[in-house]
Amino acid sequence: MKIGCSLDLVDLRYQEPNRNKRESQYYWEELYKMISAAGFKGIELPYEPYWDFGGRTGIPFTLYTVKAAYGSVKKYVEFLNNSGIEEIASIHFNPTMFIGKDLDRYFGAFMHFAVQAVEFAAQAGTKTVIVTPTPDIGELQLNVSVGQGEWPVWVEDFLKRTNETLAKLGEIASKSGVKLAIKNEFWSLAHGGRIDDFLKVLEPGLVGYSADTAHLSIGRTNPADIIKKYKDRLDCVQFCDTAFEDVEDYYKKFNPEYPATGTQKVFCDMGQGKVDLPGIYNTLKECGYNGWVICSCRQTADVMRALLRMRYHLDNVILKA
Amino acid sequence: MENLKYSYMMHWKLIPYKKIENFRDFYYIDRSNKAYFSDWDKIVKYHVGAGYKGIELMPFERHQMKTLFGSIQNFVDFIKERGLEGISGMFHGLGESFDRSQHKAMIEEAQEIIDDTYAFGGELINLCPVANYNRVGPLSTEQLKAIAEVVDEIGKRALDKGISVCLHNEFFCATNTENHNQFLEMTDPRYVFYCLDTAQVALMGIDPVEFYDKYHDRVKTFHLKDTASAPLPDSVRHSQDPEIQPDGHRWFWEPGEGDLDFKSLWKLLKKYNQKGWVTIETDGTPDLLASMVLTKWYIDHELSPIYK
Repeated sequence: MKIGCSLDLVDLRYQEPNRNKRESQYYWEELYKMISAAGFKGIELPYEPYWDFGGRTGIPFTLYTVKAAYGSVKKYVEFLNNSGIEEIASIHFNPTMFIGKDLDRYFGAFMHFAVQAVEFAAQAGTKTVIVTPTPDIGELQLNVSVGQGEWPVWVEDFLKRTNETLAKLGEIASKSGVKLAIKNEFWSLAHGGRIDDFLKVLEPGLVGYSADTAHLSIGRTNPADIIKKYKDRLDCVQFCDTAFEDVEDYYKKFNPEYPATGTQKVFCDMGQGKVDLPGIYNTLKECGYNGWVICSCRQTADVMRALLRMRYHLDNVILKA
Repeated sequence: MENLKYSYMMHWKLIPYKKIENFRDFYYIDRSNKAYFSDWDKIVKYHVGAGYKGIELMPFERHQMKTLFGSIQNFVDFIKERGLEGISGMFHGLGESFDRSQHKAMIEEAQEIIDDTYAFGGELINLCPVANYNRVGPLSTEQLKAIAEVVDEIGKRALDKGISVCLHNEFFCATNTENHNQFLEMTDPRYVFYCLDTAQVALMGIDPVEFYDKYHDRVKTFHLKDTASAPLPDSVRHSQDPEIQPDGHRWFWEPGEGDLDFKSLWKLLKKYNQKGWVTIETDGTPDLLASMVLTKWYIDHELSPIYK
């Protein structure tokens, strides 16, 4: 197994002091060195077309921004290599920003930018593009499907189009030497065990599975069981921690990552939550998994502290288990 | 009764929570100041505590705000309960507005902004008229005329709802140094007004004090901010995505921390009996709360004694 870390630890969308410097290239270029110093040689890159708009080309999350800053993906990867990062292990694309009542527009943008993510991966030598299969249920139910018929019928049609899009993307990715994988956020239509509904209709050779330990735990499933079930389709595994228990069914409400009541913080730094990461690591070993494990301290309050927390927890808890 | 009302520009990005109910517990999760910047309850209280009366909204977050609060009216009630007077207005930007074939779609989109601004109780829409110079410049006179047409139409529709559309020029817009004033004069003064962003016009090489003296009849509001980099050469203003510099160099500073002559400007505000909203915009700062308070100190102690 190879262990990397996700750049999703940097919170770009929400306010806190010093957030703004994250829009400048120098911030990321220093961060790569910090990641390398914390012992991670591979990164997962969120692919976020949001940064194509509004002149934030310092954020290396799209083809456009990377080309603007470095000239080409190849030169960007060379820069990473010179900063101690050997590989972009995986790229994660989430199409939620395009969701709206016009589903033709949504699926069009989904395909357009997912293909860009695949193109980015092919040029970077990245083997896996992970796709979030659907936006959050709350957004779909409260805003998108309103006035468009009964929810179960609407969902059936939406899932059909989603799976058609994923199948087509899987083929495109395969031709570029890239493997598509889907993940199951606890708030998506693929939450918890519902990932089965997707994986059973998608061609295993074209679309794999990327398991996220925190999302699976919140989705009331045992991550180790799901990993065993899909051991032959695993293309990447996210080690993410949480202490959140979704007792109020936030998985189907708006803004699920930020619950309005109860324990309002969902994700936490590695080792600060309750997910049995050592146990899951052993399960992966038993399954003979030899792909990437990506450590994710999603939107941590302190990036540098999170990097060192991850390294400590890996070396002293997970890898010693 | 004071003539000027101060508003603060919404550069907080998304604010994920309406109110953190268990604030002390939330803080102890990671003992970080992030807890202080994560809910509207506290963000609004910072505005009120610092002496601001309003907020100018960016358009990007309004969908999330509507759903978070259930309705625009709920949001307005929420901020008023905490002591704000209201929303001063909303920002909006046009893209390839010189292309008449795109005007219909642009007007439809602008109508949504007008309707939402009205629902928020806003009085102003500060409108960037066209895309970046690097993408679409330089513009011909005919193209400027086409932009003026669509801006006039949006201005007319906004005025029907009691909202003033004010041109707002970024230093990197295709309307730039060579045609900025010419373009303003091409728009209809009955329907289109001006938001004087002191730093943006200075970066284009235009003296904001002289500009205000000449065009005070059109100036309805301000984006107040300082700069220590004016004027910028064409090579910067015409470059790809110059707003955020790769090395973190800042174009914008809090009033009093740069080179602009705000005291002379305030003497003119007094001379012309300027009234209405003045928005403080501190884009680029590492700390919005610090900038908000620092700016208010400068206003209260350096500018208000001249005119308020």
